[in-house]
Amino acid sequence: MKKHTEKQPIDDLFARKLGDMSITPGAKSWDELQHRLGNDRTARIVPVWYRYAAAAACVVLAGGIGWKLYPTNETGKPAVAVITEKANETGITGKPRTATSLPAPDKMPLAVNTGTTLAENESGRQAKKVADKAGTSTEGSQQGVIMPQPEVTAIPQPVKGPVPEENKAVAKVSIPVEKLPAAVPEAVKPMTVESLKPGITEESVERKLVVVINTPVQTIPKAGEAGGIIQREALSQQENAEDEGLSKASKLFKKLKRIKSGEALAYKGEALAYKGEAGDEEDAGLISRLYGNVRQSLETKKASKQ
Amino acid sequence: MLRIIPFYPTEAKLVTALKRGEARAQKVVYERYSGRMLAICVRYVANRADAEEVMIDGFMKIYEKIDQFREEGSFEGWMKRVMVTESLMFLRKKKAWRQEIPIDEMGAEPDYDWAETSLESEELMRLVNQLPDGYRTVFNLYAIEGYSHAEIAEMLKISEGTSKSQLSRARSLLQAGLKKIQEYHYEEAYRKTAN
Repeated sequence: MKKHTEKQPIDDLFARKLGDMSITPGAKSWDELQHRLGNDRTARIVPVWYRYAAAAACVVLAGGIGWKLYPTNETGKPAVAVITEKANETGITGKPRTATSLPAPDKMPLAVNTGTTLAENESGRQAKKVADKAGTSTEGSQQGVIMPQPEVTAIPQPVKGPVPEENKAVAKVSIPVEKLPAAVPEAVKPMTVESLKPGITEESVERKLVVVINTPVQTIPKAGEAGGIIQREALSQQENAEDEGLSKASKLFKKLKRIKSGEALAYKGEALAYKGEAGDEEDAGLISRLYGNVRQSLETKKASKQ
Repeated sequence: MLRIIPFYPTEAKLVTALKRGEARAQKVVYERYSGRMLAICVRYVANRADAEEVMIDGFMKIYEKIDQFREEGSFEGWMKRVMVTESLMFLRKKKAWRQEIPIDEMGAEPDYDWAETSLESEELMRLVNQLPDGYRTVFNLYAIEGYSHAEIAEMLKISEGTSKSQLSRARSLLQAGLKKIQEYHYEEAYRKTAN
């Protein structure tokens, strides 16, 4: 291709005007070209399809996970509540027992009576002796869990002085149970507080709060002071006896499980440990009780050795 | 355009990517040169729809025959030659330049300076497209692409005399067309001034 030396003006005019002219092709031209190349449809559309498919898969997975987790969370709550009861039964004193004792009106007057009896009995005692009683009181509570309530009065005396008094308190309590349901709501809160006052100082209350986190074995001898522990032990004994004998009480506990969610959170870790074992609420309660009994028996052995 | 340029800042990189068969490079080539390539096809084929088909065939050839590009000249010049070849193949199927059309009388010379400033490229393209296929092909090859009569004769499988005669007839027709356009514009301007 050679450039012409002699170029006519008409050739030059058209060469300049049309030589670098540009005409935008239609949009279909590129599609046609890609179609001929054979790399358009598969190369472009398929990735877009995969993206949408991936997004849909993510949504489905999220929904499925949520569907699976939602019912498990519901079933997990009662398991947590059962374990908190177990913890209370084993003798954990750090828990605010008023919350657990409120729903069962039959139990509340027990606390009142025991509080009064303890206040009378503890008038001549010292704080150290009360601490020693706490160690023995665990034995009483353990026996109370295993054995029915009438046998509680037959608890062996040789342990120490305060133990029979506690048992007496329990025995006295069993009598007014039928009388008190009317006076329950007003009498409960103030009496529990008053019962705790003579034996427990402000410092001891703070110790109780710390004990909530620790295991019951370590906390009982430290925080078990004055009538607070004794009162709770009496409550736990009767609660155990009534839970074993009465199905109504178990129903009430089930209702209370939701109310006591705040307590359950403190023992969430332990509750999760039992979550897989207890598929049902009743099974969870039985397992937790058995576990508490075994644990208390070990604790009593340790205490006796000491 | 601005988004794609950084991928192939130089023509050499674009050609290298094309030789590797990268789809992105093919698209870049199309977006960057399709306008000029289509203008070439329209100038030869004279029909927009046919020209786009020819352009697509030309790009297919570019993508397939990119290994034949020696990088001795410019890539755009090589693409233009491919498009011209495709246009000629399209016209050869129609046996366009073998048609003999009676020659009109050579009109008066138009005012090229006026045409340079007043006429748009589209009007000139329309004039070229009105030429018979044989005239138009030889005129495009000789006047705009710069081929010699010998090359044109070889490309079109015609004699050099035929190429020369068709070129002169094409020039005559284009001059007559330019003259008519010029006269029309002058008349319009006169009417505006008279009113």
